[in-house]
Amino acid sequence: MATKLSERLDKIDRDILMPMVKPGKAYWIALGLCVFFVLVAIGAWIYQLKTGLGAAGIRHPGMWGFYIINFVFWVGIAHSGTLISAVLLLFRANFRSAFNRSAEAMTIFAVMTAGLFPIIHAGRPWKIYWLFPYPTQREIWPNFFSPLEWDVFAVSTYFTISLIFWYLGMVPDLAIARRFFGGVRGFFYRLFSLGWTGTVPQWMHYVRASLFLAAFATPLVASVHSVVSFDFAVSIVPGWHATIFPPFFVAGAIFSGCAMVFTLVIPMRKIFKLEEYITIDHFENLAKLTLFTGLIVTYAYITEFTLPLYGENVFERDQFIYRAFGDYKWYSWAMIFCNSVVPLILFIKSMRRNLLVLFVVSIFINIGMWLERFVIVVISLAHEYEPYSWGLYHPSIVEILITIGSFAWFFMWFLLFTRAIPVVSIFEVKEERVREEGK
Amino acid sequence: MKKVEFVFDEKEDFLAKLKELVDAGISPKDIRVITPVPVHEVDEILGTHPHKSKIKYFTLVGALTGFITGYALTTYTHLSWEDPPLIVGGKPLVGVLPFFVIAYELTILFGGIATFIGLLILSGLPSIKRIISPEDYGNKFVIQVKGESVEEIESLLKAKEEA
Repeated sequence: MATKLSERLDKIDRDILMPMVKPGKAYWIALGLCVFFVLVAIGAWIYQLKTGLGAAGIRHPGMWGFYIINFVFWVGIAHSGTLISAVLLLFRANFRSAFNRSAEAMTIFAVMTAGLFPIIHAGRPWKIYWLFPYPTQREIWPNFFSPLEWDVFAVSTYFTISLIFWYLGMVPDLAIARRFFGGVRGFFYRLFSLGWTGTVPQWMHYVRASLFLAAFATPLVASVHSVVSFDFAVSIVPGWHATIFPPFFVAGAIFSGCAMVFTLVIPMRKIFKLEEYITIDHFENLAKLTLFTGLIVTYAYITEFTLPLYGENVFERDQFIYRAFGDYKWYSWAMIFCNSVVPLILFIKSMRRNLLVLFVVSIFINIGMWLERFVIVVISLAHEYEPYSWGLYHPSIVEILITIGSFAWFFMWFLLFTRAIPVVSIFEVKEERVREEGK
Repeated sequence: MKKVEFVFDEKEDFLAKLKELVDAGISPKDIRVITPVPVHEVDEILGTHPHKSKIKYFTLVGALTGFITGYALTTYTHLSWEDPPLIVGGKPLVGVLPFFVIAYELTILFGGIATFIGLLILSGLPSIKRIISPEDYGNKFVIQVKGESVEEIESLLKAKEEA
């Protein structure tokens, strides 16, 4: 420790900011692929607009298909971002600063992806503004008894608050970045750092504002996926009409979100050489959180299956027997394998500390959580009360292309983010370093 | 206006100097401190604990406004068709529980936005002057004392030492 404190802090700035300067060849290939698939998806959507919703595979009784599955999936992915930032800030968990920036970015991009699907699913997407309350000559307002209307408020609130929280956390870091870059790029860093200086009153209000926003964001995390689960639970469809849905959905959302953090951060850490700032200990802590939420999800599966079998409601019972042994049984069993069996490996300490294992497990969980939404949405609708209205749903090529495009869209934004904004919260890393050295 | 500036590389030196200046009788109002990270010891010396931030009033007013707006918007719109009332699904015209979801979300939305606006107002951001020419000391710890010259401060410190 011969160097001065300010020089050691300078090194942290350089280490985190330097990878933003020169993208490698692999970066451009990845970005190009993402843009390509986004364009393909846009093409598929234009085809659907011209032909009508019949171009998608949604028809009676499977009126909700891939689009709604994707909506629920992406809203779920969005959850761990705010969870990691806000809840761990409130609990002062020290592994937060390694992940919070990229997890929050993930939240923003996942909500941006999720928000597209109700629009794509709508028959007349150009009238999507009807969802919002605004005074009209016809004096028609949205139906505030509808869970779908609650969704509009929940998801748009979630997007706004996450964006504010993300941006707020970024301001001192942008003020660091403005030192390193000139020209147009430097101008934008100066502009968006708002003239941040780091005076004591600024820090005082800043720390307080972060705490309040975290305190708001925490109940928001719980409410958003609860509201999304109301879309199902408030209806009377067997398999949907269950009181367990809100906590089940929230736990599932955090579970899938943590998995997506692994999927994104493990390669990012390697490419950006951030081993010093995102350590194996950090990953292990997040793996424990993943395991914990995974066990909650497994518990919810058990409850969901046993209660109808034990109860007197024949429709519910039939629905769950159909899930396990009916037309879509492979989806159900694959879901249980991915979400309940594979994560159990995280009970072993050496596995939690092995990044390759974590990466593979995270891919399984991502697939499993997507399948969970498939199981809930499609199987329930395929097998409702009257046998004459039973039917199977198969996705069309348009839906598949748009689904692939949504992943490309999400990764495209994330790739752009890694080059534009410091991927680790620099000032928080420095704050921790200063605090540790002071001990 | 006269201004004296001390720049430090180490946190300990910086804190020692700050304490010295305050003990010598310089009012914390005349001291401007710039740090690369929030330093909690400074709060103790200058009495600027985050608890004292006025931002809580912004948050509270925003949250209450949001809650009231949520119930007002839903109730007003569902009552706006008077004769005949527009009954949906055989449910009561005004539902306290379903409308709570909207009120809940708007509490958070308005509260969050108000907190952000409060932060901008209280900490003097965005500052156009500083966007054009940022005041940037890198990772150094800075103390600026307003309205004193170097000699005046030195004599103050000396007087303190002798006493």
